[in-house]
Amino acid sequence: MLTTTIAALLTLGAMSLVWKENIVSRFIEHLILGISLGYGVVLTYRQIFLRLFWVPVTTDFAANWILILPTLIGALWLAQPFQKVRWLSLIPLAMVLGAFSGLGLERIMSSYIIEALEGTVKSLYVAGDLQKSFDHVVIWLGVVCILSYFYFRRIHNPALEKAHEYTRIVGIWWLMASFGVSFGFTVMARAALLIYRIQFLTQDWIGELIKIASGGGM
Amino acid sequence: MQRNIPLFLVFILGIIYVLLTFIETSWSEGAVRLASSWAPLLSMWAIVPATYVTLASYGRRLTKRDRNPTTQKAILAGVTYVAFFTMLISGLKSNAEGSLFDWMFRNIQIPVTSTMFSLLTFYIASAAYRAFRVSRAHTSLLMVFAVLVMVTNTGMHTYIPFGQYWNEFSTWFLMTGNVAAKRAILIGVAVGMLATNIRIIFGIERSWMGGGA
Repeated sequence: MLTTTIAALLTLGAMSLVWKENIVSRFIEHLILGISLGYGVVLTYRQIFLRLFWVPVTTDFAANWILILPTLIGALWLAQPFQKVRWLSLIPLAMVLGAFSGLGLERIMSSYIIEALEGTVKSLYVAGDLQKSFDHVVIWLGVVCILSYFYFRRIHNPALEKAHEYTRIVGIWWLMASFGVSFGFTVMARAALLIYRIQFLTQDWIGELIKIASGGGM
Repeated sequence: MQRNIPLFLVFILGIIYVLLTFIETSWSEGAVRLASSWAPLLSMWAIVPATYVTLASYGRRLTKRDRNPTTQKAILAGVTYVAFFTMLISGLKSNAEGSLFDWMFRNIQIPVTSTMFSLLTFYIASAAYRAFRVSRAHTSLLMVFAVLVMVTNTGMHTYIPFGQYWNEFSTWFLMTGNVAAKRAILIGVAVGMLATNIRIIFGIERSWMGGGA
């Protein structure tokens, strides 16, 4: 019960931020900063240093000695706080950034662009299924209109200019409708979390306190 | 000169890995796997300067060496220090279920962070109210679709006229109209990512180096 009370008091303290910033909410902010920082360090130590480096190297040195190399290069991050040698900390970052920028090019093309285009332009007409065909045409139109809004400010071709004006307007409206959907889902997700917290306060905490006070046991 | 070394590394590794993705051999696949296994080891040490900078900043408050020193600031900085070291020492000792580290994670971190996320409802509502006060047709459409999604997904559509039709329309829009918008945004984002990756490889994009490079 003590644990639940602590969690409930912290929840109430965090909620008091809605009213206005106060000493309790600031205390909780500082508390959570320290805890999150500690959690991050412990997680990095256990999940990366121990699991990916220390255990493989100490259990089978011959097969995993190469892991010492990235660990030593990665240690150059420790130069970050020192002005004169700060540039050394950019070396491990450059290695990760370079490798993943190179690897990313093909992956972005295949997983994002080609896959999205493939899903959009294929099978506009589905034989025997008018509803599906209509849906595919709607998706195709939506993608074209929104992309024309994203990429073309003005088209210097009289024939296409008028068409672009319309597709651009449809694109904006389409995007706003979609943002509305995302907004609705975001609000719902947050509201669900708030309901869960209120349930915790009213049922798990106050409910239990009432039970104890009325002699219902711990 | 010193700043050219990281730029050179990015360029060389970037070009090598672009080429490797187009070569299908066992050693090229091995090189790709190597990048994935090395990346966490190369990045893990970043937590040390990050922690140092944060603690140094709060340390200045703790010892009242910051711009506007107050006792309240010093006490709050002390709270951060105590919380950090308690979490660190207990976590290094044991992170098993029932340990102090686990207890603090479950009973302090989870309730507080989930409460803070849930409070975003109020901030989203307030931001939305201010945005809708501009009251343009576009924002009205956004509002209409947001309400439609919330009403139909919570089952409240049963209380409004033609509720079943609104529900069907909402489901249809999620499956078609929203998919179209998401795909177009995805394509736009991907083209942006491609451009950024190329800019990084060729040293045009240098913001990652910091210091206004």
